[in-house]
Amino acid sequence: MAFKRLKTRLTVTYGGLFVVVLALLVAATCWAVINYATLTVQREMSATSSVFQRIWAIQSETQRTSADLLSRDFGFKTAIAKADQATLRSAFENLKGRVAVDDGLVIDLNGSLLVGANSPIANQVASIVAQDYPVETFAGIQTIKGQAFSVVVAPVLAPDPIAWVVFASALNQDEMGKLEALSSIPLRAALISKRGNGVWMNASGAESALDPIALEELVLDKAGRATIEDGPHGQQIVVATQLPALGQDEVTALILTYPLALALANYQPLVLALIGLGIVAVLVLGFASREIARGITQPVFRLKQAVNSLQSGDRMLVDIQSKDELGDLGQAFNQMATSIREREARILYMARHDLPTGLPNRAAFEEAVHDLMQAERPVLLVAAGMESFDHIRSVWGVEASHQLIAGLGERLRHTGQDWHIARLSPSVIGIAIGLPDRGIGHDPTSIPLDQIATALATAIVVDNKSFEVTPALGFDLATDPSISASDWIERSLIALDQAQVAKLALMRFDPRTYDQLADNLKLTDQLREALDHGDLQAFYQPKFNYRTGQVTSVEALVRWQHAERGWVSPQAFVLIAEETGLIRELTEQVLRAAVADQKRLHGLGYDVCISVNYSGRLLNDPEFCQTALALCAEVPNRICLEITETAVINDPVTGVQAIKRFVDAGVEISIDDFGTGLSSLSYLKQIPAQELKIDRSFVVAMTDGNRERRLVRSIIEMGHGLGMKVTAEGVEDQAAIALLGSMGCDMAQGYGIAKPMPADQLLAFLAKPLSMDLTLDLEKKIA
Amino acid sequence: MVFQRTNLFQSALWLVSALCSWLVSSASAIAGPLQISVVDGEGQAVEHAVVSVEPAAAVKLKPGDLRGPFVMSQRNIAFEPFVLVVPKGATVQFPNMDRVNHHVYSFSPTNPFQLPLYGRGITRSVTFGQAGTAALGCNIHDKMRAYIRVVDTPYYAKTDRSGVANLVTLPDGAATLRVWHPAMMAQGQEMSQSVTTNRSGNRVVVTIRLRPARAGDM
Repeated sequence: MAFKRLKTRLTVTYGGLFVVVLALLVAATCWAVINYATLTVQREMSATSSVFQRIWAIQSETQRTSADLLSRDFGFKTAIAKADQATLRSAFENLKGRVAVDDGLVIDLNGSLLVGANSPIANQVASIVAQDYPVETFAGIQTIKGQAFSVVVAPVLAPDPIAWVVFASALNQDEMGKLEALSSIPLRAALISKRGNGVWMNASGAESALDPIALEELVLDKAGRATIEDGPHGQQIVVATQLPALGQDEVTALILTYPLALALANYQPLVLALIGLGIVAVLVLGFASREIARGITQPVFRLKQAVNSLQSGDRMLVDIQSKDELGDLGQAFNQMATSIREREARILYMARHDLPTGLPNRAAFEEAVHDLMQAERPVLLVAAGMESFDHIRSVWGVEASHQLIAGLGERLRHTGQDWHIARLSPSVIGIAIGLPDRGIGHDPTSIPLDQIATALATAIVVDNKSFEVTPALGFDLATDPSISASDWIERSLIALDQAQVAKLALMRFDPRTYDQLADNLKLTDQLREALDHGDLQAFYQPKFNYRTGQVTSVEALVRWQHAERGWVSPQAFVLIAEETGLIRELTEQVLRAAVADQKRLHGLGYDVCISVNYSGRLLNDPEFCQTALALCAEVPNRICLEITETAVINDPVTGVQAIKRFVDAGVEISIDDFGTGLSSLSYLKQIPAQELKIDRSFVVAMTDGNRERRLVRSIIEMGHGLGMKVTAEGVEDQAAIALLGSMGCDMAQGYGIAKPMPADQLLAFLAKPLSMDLTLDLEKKIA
Repeated sequence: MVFQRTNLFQSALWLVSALCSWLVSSASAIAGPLQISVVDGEGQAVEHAVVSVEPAAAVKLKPGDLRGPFVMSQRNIAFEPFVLVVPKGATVQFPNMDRVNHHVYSFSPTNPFQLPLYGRGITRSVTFGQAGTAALGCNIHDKMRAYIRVVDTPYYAKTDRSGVANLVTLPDGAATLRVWHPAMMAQGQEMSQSVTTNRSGNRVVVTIRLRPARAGDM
C-alpha cells in the first residue's frame, strides 16, 4: 500500500509495526498460557487417572480376596458339592456382609445360579465362565446395558472348578462423583466401553459424543496421556485409561474430560489484561506516532506552502519555532526566500532601469507606453537627442555624461509630474505623455514639446560645471492601439534621426521617409534575388574621342529591370549593394558581361575599350582583385576600371597597391567622379591612372558662368599635366561638346553623345559613322 | 510333562515304542490288538488320557480283574499317579508317604469320599463302586490334584508320554472306544467312538481338544 502523505506513512508504519510486535507478544503469551494451563490440567488429569486406577485396584483386590476366601472354604466347597442351598446361601451371606458388594453370585459348572438372583450380570458371567472355564480368580469391568460393574470371579476348586463365586459392584455416577471429588480440579469422569467392533458407548448407554477414531487412538495408543479433543461443548482435555475388561471382546476405558475453556478460565483475567494493555498501548502509540508525524510533517507542509507562495511570487516567510533540523531548514528557507526576493528585485530593477542614471530603460518605457495606450488616449512620444553628447562624453568622461542625462531626466520628471521618462540610448531620452484627449482644434502637442525643449535646453550643472546641450526632438502622436508601443517608440526615434539629419530641432515622424527606408530593405532582398537570377544587364554608354572623332571606348553601366518596379535607379541599388556587400557580386557580373561583350566586339573588329566601375571597397578585397585580374586578362588592354578618388583615399596604401597590380596587368585605371571627393591632390599623383573623369556636376555647371568654365579647363589642364587623358561626364548637348573640345578635353560622355544602350544596340551604334558638330558658334551664344 | 513341544528325541522314542508294541501284539495269536494314539488339536501326543473299550457284547468284570493293587499315593505334597484308571468295584489304596498329614477328598458326584487327616505311613483305601471320574484334592494342600477314572470294562489303558495306549487282549468285533482326559473340553471330559477289533489288530488315532494347561498338571 502507498500512502501519499508522510504523516499517514509514519503513523501507519510505526503504529503498524508496534501492533504487529504487540500482537506477536500477546499471541506468544496466550499460547504460553494456554500451553501451561493445558499442561497443568493434563498433569492433574493424568494424576487423577492414576489415582483412579489405584483405587480401582485396591477395591477389586478387596473383592478378590473376599471371593478367594469364600471359594477356598472347604465347608463352602462341600456345600456346593452336596448342593446344600441353605448352607451355601448362609455362608455366602455371611461373607457378603463383611465385604461391601452390590451383588454376589455362585454359578455352577452348568452355568446355573446356585446363589443369587438371575440378572444380566449373572447371565453375562455365566456365559464367560462356561466358555473360559477359568481356574484362576480374575477381575474386570463389565458393562451391562450401560451400567458398568466391577466384577470379581473366583473359581471354587475341588480341585477342578465346581462353581464360581462372583462379586459385582456397580460403578455408577456416584462412584464417578467420588472419583471426581478426588481431583483438585472439577473434571468429569466417565466410563466408556466397546464390544468387539461396535461403537463406544458411555455410561448412559448412548454413543459417546467424542470422535470414535480419536477415542480409539486415545484408549489404545495414548492411554494415560492427555490430549485436546473437540467435544460437544468446545475443546476439552481428555485422558483415557484402559481398564481390565471382564470379557475378552470388551474394552472399557475411563475417560476424564475437562473443558479447555475452564482450564483457561483462570488465566482469562491475565489474557484480558494483556489484550487490554495491548489495545491501550496501541492507542497511545498511534496517538504518539500521529503527534510525532505531525511534528515533522506540519513544518514540512508549511515549508511546502511557503515554496508554493514563493513560486507564485508572493512574499512568504515560514514560521517554524522548533530548534531542530526542521527549524534550521525553515530558517534557511527564509534566508533563501529573502535573498531570492532581493536578487529578484535587483534583477527586475536592472531589467527595467538604465543603471548609470537610474532612469527607466527602454523595456520599462515600452510597458509604460503600452499602459498609457490602454487608456485609449493619444500618447505623445518624444525622443530627445543631445546633439553635443558625444562631445561632452569624450571631453568630460562617461560619468559626467551619465550624470548629465540623469540630471536632465530628473528635470523632465519635475516638469511633467505624470510624464514617463526613460533613457532609450546613451544620448536619447524618451518621454511619453498621455494627452488629455484626441486633439480637436489646436495642436495638443505643442505645449509639452515646448516644455521639453525648454527643460533640456536650460543649462545644467554637473560636477560644478555648467553644461548646455542642444536637444533635437523627434516625436509622434500614438493614436492607433493596433501598432505596438515598441513601434511607436521606434517612430519617435526615427523622427529624431530625421530631425538630426535635417538639422532640425523638432520633427514629427514622417511616414513617407520611413516607408522609403523600409522599401530599401525590400529592395535589398530583390537585388539579391536579381543577382542570383542574373537579371541585371550591362548597358554601354559610348565616349566620344575628340582626337579620333570616333567612339573609342564605352562605359559599362549596370541596368536592372524589375518585374514590378520597372527600371530601378542605379543610384538607389548600387548604393544598397555597396552597403550590403552585394557590390562584389554585382561588379563581378558586370565585369563578366563586359569581358564577354569585349570579346564579341573584338571579334567583330571593333577596337573599343570598355570601362567598368570598380568600387573602392573592392580594392581592399585581395581575393576579389584576383578574380577581377583573371577576368581582365582574358581581354588584355581592353578593360578599364573606373575608381573614385575617395576609394583610394580611405586606405591609400592598399588601394594604390591594388591599382598598381591592375596597371601592371595591362588594365587601364580611370579616376571617376573627379572633384566630388574633395580629396587632397597629393593622393592624386600617387594613383597611376591613365584617365581622369570630371564629375558631371562641373560639366553641367559650365553654363553658369566663366568661373565654372575655368574650373573645368583647369581640371583638364591638371589631368594632362599629370599625364592623364581627361573625360568629361554629363555632356548633354552640342554646345558642351564643342566647348569641351575647345578646352582640350580628350573625351566626352553623356546624353549629348549617346544614352547607355545594350550591347546589341552598341554594335549598331558603332556601325554607323558618327558626325559631331564641333563648331564654337554655340559657345558664342552661351557667352 | 505331556504337553511339551515335540523334539527329535521324543519322536524317535515314540516310533521305537510303537514299533515294539506292534511287534509284541502281532506276535500274540490270542488277543486282538488295538493301539490308540491320542493327540491334541495341534497334533501333540497327549499323556494321561484313559482309553477304554466296551465291546458290543457286554462283558462282566471277573473277580480277577479287580485284584489290583490299585494305589494312589501321596508323596512330596502330590498325588501319584496323576491319573489312575481302575475297573468298577476296585479298591484303591491311599498311602501317605509324606511327613505331613493329608485330607484327601473327592466331591465327584459318582464317587464322593473323604479321608480325613491321616499321617505318615498310614494307608487308607476306598472302593469305587460306580463308573465315572473322581477328582481328588487335599483339603490342606490346594495344589494337590489327581484323578481316578473308574471304568466298567476290563479293557482299558492309559496313554504314555508318547500318547499311545495299547490294548492287547480284546475280543473281536464292534466295540465302543472311550477316551477321557482331565482337561478335555467335552461333557464329562470324555468322548467315544465305534471301533472294530480283530486279530490282525487295529490302530486308532483320536484327536481331542484340551483346555489350557493349569498349575498341577502332570
